[in-house]
Amino acid sequence: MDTGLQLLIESLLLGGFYSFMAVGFALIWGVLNILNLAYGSYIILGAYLSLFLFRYAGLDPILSIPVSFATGFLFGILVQKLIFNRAMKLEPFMVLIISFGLDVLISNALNLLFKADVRSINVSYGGDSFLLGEVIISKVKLLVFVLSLLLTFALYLFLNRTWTGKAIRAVALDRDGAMLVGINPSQIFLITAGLGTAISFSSGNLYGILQGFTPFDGGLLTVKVFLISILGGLGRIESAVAGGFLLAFIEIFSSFYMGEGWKLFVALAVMVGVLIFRPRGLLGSKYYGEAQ
Amino acid sequence: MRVLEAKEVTTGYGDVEIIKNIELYVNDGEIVAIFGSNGSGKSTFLKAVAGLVPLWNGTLHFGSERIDELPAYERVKRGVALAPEGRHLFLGMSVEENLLMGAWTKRDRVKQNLDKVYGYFPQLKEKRGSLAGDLSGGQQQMLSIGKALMSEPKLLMIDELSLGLAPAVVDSLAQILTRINREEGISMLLVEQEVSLALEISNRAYVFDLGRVVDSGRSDELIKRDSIRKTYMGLA
Repeated sequence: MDTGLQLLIESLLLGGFYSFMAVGFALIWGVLNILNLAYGSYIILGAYLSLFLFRYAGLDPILSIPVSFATGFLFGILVQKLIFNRAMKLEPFMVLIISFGLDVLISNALNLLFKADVRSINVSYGGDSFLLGEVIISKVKLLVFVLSLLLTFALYLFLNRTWTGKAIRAVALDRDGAMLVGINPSQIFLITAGLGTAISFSSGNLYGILQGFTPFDGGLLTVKVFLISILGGLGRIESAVAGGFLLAFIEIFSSFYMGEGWKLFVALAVMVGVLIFRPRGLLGSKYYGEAQ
Repeated sequence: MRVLEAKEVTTGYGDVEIIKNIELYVNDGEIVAIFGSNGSGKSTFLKAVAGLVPLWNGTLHFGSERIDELPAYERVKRGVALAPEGRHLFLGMSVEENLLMGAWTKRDRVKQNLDKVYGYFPQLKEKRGSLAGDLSGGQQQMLSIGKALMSEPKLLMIDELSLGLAPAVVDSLAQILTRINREEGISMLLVEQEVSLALEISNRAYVFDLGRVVDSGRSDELIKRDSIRKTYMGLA
């Protein structure tokens, strides 16, 4: 069996999910200029929501994605209105601290509700896999991969083809310019916060069927989406996708050849390299800058 | 009939007052120019009319409606458009996308307005797929004006039409502006440091100095006045 090929396929499958998971974070960062440290916990919230729906309503985590999306959208708008809108008037550092506080709040609230045990969503097709040539492909991973790509592509279409989506990009590119064509930036901020959070919640559904989770896994996920955004660059969906695949390759290959404990180290080392040699990320180009 | 009427307009940034008690009006169909030295508050006044800077005192009327308490995006809907200093184009979007964003408040007539803008600026049509950030300075200025036209303005304000552009480019832009003014009946308020150009294409002009209106009148009279020629045009 060809180990390299197997690792390559694993990286691709994981990369698709990483791209989708990070795209909401990058969107919020790029448009609102908020580095949301609670983003990882949002993903975990989505995972627990889909676990809850699976247990008590018998709803498959894939089928409950729309529920997570809608809940996340409302949650994102609420948090933006109640917390971030006020914090954004102060200095950026305050936003960072508040989002960290939010992360602590969410993970501890989940701990009270669900205890710290590792939970998993055991779907009936969870263990299935098939052989493609000499490569073993897990059905769940393939399903998550396909869904992630579809949802990311849907977001791409939304941002590039609809009036609201274009307005989101316009506000990210030039806030004053957007106001001068008649766009209301506060409204766009709300929609973007809702959309980004909806993506985090939805990716929680997928995360929940990929692996077990505890209330405190959000921190590591935040590190990952941060890494992906730095690696790929900000301001475009394509950047998050490039960063997502790159992180997946680094993780899969380094943990196989160097050991599981090394993967975060290698990823962070690559991030430092990118920051030194390509500070705008792999795909970040000068006209797709973050919000001014 | 007045399109714009500013009374006692005072504003600034932070604690610093930039303009004080500005009295200025634009009649329907008129081209009005504002000139004056750097830091005299010309750009700040346009920003105040567009709603990017809140007033400290005074009023702004647009037609019969008072607009100084409306946010910028509401003023665009009513027909106030600004091609701002620094242009504020969406550099990461294509030329056509920029124009389409300009039509944010007039989405039902995008097609006609796009044809109209391409009619006035054929170069933009050729470059429709290029990124705005990759255009030349003159083309960016065309795009900035075109984007403003997409909102079907009643008042088009242009901040520093000639800044950084070659004289030939400025001349052709000025000709196009007077055509737009004549054919579309759009009133214009221009901030311009090229005083001879400003006086040539405008009906009336205001002179700003240290945040106040120090002179105003018909452009064909101002251009003959010795004090103006000496101070602002470097002529004897």
